[in-house]
Amino acid sequence: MTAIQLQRLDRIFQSPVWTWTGRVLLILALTALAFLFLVYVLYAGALIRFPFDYDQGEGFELWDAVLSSRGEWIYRDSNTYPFYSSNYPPVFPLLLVPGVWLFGPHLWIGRAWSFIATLISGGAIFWIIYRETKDWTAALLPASAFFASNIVYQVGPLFRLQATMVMFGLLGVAMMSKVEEAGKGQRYLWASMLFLLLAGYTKQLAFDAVLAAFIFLFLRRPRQAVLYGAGFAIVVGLIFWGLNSATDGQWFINTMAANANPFIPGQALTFYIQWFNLHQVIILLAGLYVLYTLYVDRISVYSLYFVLSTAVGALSGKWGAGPAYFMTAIAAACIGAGLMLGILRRWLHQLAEQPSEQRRMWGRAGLAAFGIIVPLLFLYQARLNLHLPLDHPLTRPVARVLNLPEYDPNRFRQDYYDTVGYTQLGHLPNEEDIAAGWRIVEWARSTPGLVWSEEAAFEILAGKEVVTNPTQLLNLYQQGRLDTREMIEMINEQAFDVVIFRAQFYPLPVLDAFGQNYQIVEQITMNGFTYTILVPKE
Amino acid sequence: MITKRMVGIALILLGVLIVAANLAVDLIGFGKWEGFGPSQWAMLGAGLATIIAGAAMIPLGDRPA
Repeated sequence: MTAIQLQRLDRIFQSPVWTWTGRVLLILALTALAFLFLVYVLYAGALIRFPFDYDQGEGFELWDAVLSSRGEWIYRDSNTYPFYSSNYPPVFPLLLVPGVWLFGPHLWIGRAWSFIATLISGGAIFWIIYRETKDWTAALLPASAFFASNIVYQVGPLFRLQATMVMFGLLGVAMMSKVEEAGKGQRYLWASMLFLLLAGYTKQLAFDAVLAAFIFLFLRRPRQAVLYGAGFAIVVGLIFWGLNSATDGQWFINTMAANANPFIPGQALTFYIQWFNLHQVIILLAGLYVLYTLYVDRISVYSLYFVLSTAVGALSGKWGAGPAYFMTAIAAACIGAGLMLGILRRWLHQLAEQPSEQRRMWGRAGLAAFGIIVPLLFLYQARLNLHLPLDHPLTRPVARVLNLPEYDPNRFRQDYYDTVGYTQLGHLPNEEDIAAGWRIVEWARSTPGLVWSEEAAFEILAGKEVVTNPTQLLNLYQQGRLDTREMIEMINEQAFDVVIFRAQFYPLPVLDAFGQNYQIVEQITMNGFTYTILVPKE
Repeated sequence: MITKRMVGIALILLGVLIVAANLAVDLIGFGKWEGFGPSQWAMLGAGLATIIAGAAMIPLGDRPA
């Protein structure tokens, strides 16, 4: 290329048109992501106002917190009344005990906590990227993309332990990244192990963060990794043994054995494809980051975190698992994407400051293109993740501008649009749902006797003890670990005055016994699901 | 010190393990597909990608991982 041609090209790339186009696109991208964050806040607010189970299992998490607040173990013999046990580790319910003491047994406590946990995770993503790159757009775009994710949106503010596990795991990994810092490395190491311990005892799935952190430590300081890794394993083991001893083995049966569900490879593959399709931009950027750290720079804890959390997504093929298993991989992808953007921009800046005129020109051209391509990519990412209620005053105008169809036979609820397509999560529960829920609670309150409910919130709001944890019973039954005799005897004796079913996730003999001894008196639709009320046959 | 070459070798071994486990599934007779199912192809792809990723690291030699 001649000097004159170079100068002409350089003038083109230095034109303010590029800069202003890039700024406009960046504003558009941030606006799109901010809109999705607003939708997330609306959803969290609607859930916090909704007193009943929204997702299966929320009420049981609340009951775990209630039992813990009473000083009772949550790992119990499911063969005897009330046939209830938790199938998750104890950190999450223990964290919510103060909330139960202060405000009583309400689902909003755990939902508010989970929402805050996602804010902390998003903030940590921003902080990690900005600390490494000093590039606020490289940090803000992926951190915003975390909240824009359909999966984070749907699962984030639920009374479930996923968000808490992701938060602790992420903080553990982030602390481990600083283990070589002079003077403070040891403190970061201890902080990392504490967060990782909390993550693991929030949900077993957190082993991806634990592995990422200790493999990183092994790569940088092998002897310290072996020493502290052994110590960590001993502490984990002692807690495990203590819980198991204190609960007569129910801890192991309910959290380990019962969770060993059948694996459906096709289900995992479907979720992987969905995860990739929804998060193409951040996944591809994170993938580039992994390649960069493998072949150009040193392997970072964040590239390990992304690879391992993606691999652990395979466990979404377990019966009862879902896309929420990819929440950690989404957080890790956001971090990897932001770090890669920072690396790219830094490299282009360095190129633009080279002695060679040609290299400086290509550096400036690259920066101009970067300023336009990156916002476009995140606009595309936001479009991939588009989800919004169609009838909320703040989102209805946007739905109209985007020409979203008001009706789609594949939707679970017609008042909610999600690029996922069919999803039972994400729509905003409304006043009709709340009224229907109180109608069901009235059935539970209508008797001084025992109530059997497939969702725990109805029993809790009616002041009753929670009876059964259905999917846990089903898991135990399928593994031959459940003795249904006492349960069926009570059903045959019509010991329960009111029975509330939804999906009927119970062992078949239990359902048969109900079929023989109970009759349907009402069906109530709440939140898109049909609840069946049964009373004893005369 | 853990080097890039060491990590490359570890990845190759891991990839071989994944491929072997994938093939063993058919030997044990697990799964409903006759021959290779779609999930097995995906696992095979992951195993081969791991082997290739590891092999590409070996020329990096003694650089710190």
